[in-house]
Amino acid sequence: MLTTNRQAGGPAQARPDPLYPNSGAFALGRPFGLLDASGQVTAAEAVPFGLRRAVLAPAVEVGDLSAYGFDHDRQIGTVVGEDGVAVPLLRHTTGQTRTTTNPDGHKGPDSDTDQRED
Amino acid sequence: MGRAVTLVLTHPFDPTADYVVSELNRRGAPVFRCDPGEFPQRLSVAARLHGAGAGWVGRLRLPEREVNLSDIGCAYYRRPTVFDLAAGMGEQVRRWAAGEARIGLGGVLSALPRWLNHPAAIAAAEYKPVQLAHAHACGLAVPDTIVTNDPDEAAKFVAHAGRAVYKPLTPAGITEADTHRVVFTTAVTVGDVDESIRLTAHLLQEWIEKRYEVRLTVVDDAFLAARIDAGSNAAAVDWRADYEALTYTPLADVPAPVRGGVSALMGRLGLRFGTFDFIVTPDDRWIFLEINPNGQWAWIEDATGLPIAASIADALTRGNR
Repeated sequence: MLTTNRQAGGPAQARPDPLYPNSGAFALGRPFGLLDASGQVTAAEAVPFGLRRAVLAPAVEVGDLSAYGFDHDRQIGTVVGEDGVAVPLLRHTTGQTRTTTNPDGHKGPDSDTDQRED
Repeated sequence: MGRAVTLVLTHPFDPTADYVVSELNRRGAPVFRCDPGEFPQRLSVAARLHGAGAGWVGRLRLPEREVNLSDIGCAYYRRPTVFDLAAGMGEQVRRWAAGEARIGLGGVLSALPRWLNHPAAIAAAEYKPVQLAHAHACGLAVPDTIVTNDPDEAAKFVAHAGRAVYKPLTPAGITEADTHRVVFTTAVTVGDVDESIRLTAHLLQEWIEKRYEVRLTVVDDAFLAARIDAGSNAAAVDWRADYEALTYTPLADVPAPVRGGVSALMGRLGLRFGTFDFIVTPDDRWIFLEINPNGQWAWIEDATGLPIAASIADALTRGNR
């Protein structure tokens, strides 16, 4: 639960109330590697205005999921390149630091590009 | 005890966090990286509260390493994922166990004294109407905005604005029937407005003429600004729609009034880190669009050389023993 404090000249400020913890106050992402997907298709008349402007998400290259790993010493992600050598994931990714998508829900890189959740 | 440890909360394949961990490694600063998604299968917690004046005492433990809670200097909240509970739990048991884990582990972590950013502050700041109100109160210029599910009010707003845009209030897309779709900012005319506005809340803003846009990353007192020029029509409306068409240039200066407003806004929202989006108009006014309290930034560092990872590492280790 959030409580509010009124400040002069401004809107109320939300402050977490320690007596009534809100689980959303420690937000966690979706299960790793899974998209929140549904096979259901919403009837056109039930789609809100904003979602009618949705476009297909930009295609993101899907890599070989088995190539990804984690260096427990350096505590960073790794990926095996074409030469068979594991390199830090951040060096392998593009200038946009894209991770690869994982629509199948297997353990592996997350389904976000680096920018998408901004 | 030795040097304070930076706790990094994120999933294992977060290259943006890798930038920061690598920078901390380079400095020889201790790091404990874990994902709550590893709890309770790989990650364990034992925390005890006893004695006068002491906080939670105990440790987080992975098979590879462990950290004393009292040794944690600052926690960096990035992209933690949901708990990995034991197979065989029914849905109701799973939901109960997840709630206990969230309030138990999440509560012990939430009680840590130093964060970048505290997850509760992130959660509160992600409400766009909240941040717009605070930005306005802090003296930042914001677009005329309406949040409504009333088609008549929406139509009146668009007609008055002359030119308007629709913006989603949340970043999430949807996946139905194996198709993933996302919503970017889109131009809206009066003729576009229809009854489907009634189906949920919608945010509309006046169209702001732009010379260019700015992605401003703020870490404590570090202001790292990148100019973004759009090379396509789609990117001109919402630069997220066409990353390939963007060019980035570091900006040396942020106007003092903007800097002051941004600092005040960060203070009101209880944030030490934020990525801001501004439009700069043809007459050089900076118009606040939004703040992302846990926004992405690594691609900006790659494109501009702005030392964002180093600034975050500075902030995470500032004041450490």
